[in-house]
Amino acid sequence: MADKIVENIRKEAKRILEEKIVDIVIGFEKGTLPYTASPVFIENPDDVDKLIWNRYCHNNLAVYLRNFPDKKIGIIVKGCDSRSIVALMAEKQLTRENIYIIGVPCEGMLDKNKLLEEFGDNPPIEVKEEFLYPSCQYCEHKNPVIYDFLTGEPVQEKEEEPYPDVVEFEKKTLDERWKYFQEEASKCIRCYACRQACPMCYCEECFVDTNSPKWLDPGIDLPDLQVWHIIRAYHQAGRCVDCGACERACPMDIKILWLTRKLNKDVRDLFEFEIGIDPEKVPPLGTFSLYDKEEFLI
Amino acid sequence: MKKIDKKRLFERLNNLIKDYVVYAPKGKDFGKIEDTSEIKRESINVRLSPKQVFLPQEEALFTFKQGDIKVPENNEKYILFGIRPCDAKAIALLDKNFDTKDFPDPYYIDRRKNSILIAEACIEPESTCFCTAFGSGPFESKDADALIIDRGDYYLIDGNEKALSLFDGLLEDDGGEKILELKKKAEDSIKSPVVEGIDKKLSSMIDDPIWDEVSRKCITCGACTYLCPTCYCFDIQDVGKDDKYMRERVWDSCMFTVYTLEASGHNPRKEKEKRMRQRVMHKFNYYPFLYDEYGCVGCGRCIKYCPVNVDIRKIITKIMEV
Ligand code: SF4
Ligand code: SF4
Ligand code: SF4
Ligand code: SF4
Ligand code: SF4
Repeated sequence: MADKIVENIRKEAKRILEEKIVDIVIGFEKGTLPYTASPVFIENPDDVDKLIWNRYCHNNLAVYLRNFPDKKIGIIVKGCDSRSIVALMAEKQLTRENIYIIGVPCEGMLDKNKLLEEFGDNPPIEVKEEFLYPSCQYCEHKNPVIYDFLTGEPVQEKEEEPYPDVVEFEKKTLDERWKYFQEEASKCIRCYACRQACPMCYCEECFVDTNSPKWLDPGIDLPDLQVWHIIRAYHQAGRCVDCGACERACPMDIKILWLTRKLNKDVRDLFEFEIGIDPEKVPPLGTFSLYDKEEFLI
Repeated sequence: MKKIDKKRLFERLNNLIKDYVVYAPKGKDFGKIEDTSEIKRESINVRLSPKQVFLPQEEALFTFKQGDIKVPENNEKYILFGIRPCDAKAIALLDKNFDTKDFPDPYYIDRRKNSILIAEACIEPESTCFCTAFGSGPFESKDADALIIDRGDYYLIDGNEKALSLFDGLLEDDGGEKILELKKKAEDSIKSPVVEGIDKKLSSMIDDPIWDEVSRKCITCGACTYLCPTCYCFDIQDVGKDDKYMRERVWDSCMFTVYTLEASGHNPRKEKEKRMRQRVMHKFNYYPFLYDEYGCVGCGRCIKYCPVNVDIRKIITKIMEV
C-alpha cells in the first residue's frame, strides 16, 4: 500500500506544480540515517520523484507553512498535521486558498529510538503497535480531517478513550507527579527544539526570549526549566493537536507530551472543545465567555 | 605503548576522585562521576559533549551585593576520562578561541589548565562519524594527554608524563602488540566527505543561493550548536536568584533568531538562511581564516540529533559541488 501512496503523492505533486496550482510542495525525502525521512521542498515538477512516504515521516510539516508567505503551497499531511492546519486556520494564521492539501491516511509512525535499540541498523519486516510513537498509539484522527486530495483508502480510527495515559497519570499522588515532572524538566538544555518543531508555537517573540520584561532567567537552574516547561505547555492548552512533534524533536529525550495532553484533556472535559476539527471554532484560550466554568475558583 | 589492567585502572581512578573532579561517559551523556561504577557507554560517543566541563551551560562570572563584588574562584583539578579523539580535538579548538594572547578567558583557562584529557580510541566508529575529513581519526592521540585502546580486560595506553603518572606502578610492557590493523579497520569504516579547499571556496559564496536551499528544512532550534563540541557562543546576563545577584554567562546559539537581534529592533540575521550560513561559515571559513583549522571535528552530533535530519555532510558536499 505504501508504494501506491508514494505513486499517488508524486503524481498529484507533479500535477499541481505543472498546472501552477501551487509554487512549492512540502513533503518528505529519504533521510540520511536509518529509520529517517526528512522534510523536502519541491518547486520543479521534474523533482517529484524525490518524494517518499513511509513509517518514518513523523515531522509535522505544517510547521513550515509560515515560511512561505508569498507562495501557494502544496503540503503532504497525516491526520495530526491536517489538524494543525485547521488549528492555524482557526487562529487566522493561514488562508485556506493558499494551500493545497495532499492527505495521507496514516497508520502511525515508528519510533526510531525504539527500533534502533531493538533491531540496530537492520529494519524489521513486521512491526508491532508498541513500536509506534506514543502520540500515534493514542491518535484518534489518523485520517486527515481536511484535504484536497487523498492518497489512499481511509484507515480504521480508534474508538477507545483517547487519553488512557493521562487517566493513568492522574491516579498518581501529587508528590509522584511533581517528582516525575522535575526529573524530566531537569534534563532540559533549553535548545527550544520542542518549540521550533511545533506548528502552534508561532509567536514572533516567545516569552523566554524577551528581556524587557524578562519573564525568565537564562540558564539551566531547575526552577527556570520548570517555568519554561509549564508555560510552554499552558500556552498550548486546547491548541495543541497531540501530534507529538515537540517530544520527538527533543534531543534530550525528555517526556513533554503528557503535559500538553493533560491540558488538552482538561479543555475537552471543561469546555467540550477539541482543536483541529472545525476551522470556525476558536480555542477556549483565545476567547472569553461569561459562562466559562470556574469551579477552580473558591 | 603500555598496557594497563582495567580493574586496576578503575581502582586507581576511584582513588583519584578524592583529588580530581572526574568526568566520564555516564550512559547517554558525559558527566561528573562519584564512582567508576557509574561509567557506562550507551553509544560510541556521548550526547552532551565534554565542552560542558570548560564552558558550562551556565556559570557566574561574578556575584554582587551592595557594592561587594566577588569573583568565584576555581581551583579544581579535572580528569576527563574516555572522551573520544574528536572531542579532544574540539577542546584543542576551544583552547584557540579562549586561551588567546589578547583576550585570555580566565574562567575557561582556570579549569582547562588543571585538566587531564584521557581519550579512548573508537574501535567501531558510528555511521555519523567523519573525523577523518579533518586530518584526525578514531585513533588520533595528539589532542589528548593520553589515548587508551580497549582490549577486553586491559587497555593499551600511550600519553604524556602528566597523564601516565596518574597510573604510576600499574603500567606494564605491551608485549609488542600491534594495533595498526585495528586502526586501519576503524579508519576505513568511516565515510567522510571531501573538504579540501572548502574554506577558500566559501569566501566567494556569501550571496550564493545555496544557503536558502540547505536551510529550508532547518527549524532553527539550538540542538546542533548546543550539542556541538566546538560551538562556544554565549550570552551574558545579570540574574537575581533568591538574594544572590550575579552576572552570568550562558550558552547561546547563532541558530536562534534573537541571537543577533539589536536593541534598535533591527536583526541582521532575521532570515534562517543567514543563520545557517553563519554556522557553516564559522566552522569552515572563519575558523580556518583565524586559526588555520576547521571548526568542525566530524563528531556527527549535529547530524544525529537534528530533529529534521539536516546533515552537515550533505551541506559540505553541496558546497563542494558549486
Ligand atoms: S505542543 Fe507538541 S504535540 Fe502539541 S501541537 Fe505542538 S508539537 Fe504537536
Ligand atoms: S527540545 Fe527538549 S531540551 Fe530542548 S528546550 Fe525542549 S524540552 Fe528542553
Ligand atoms: S538541529 Fe537541525 S533544525 Fe535545529 S538548528 Fe540545527 S540544523 Fe536546524
Ligand atoms: S558541526 Fe556537527 S559534526 Fe562538526 S563538530 Fe559540531 S556537532 Fe560535530
Ligand atoms: S557556529 Fe554559531 S553557535 Fe557555533 S560557535 Fe559559531 S557562531 Fe557560535
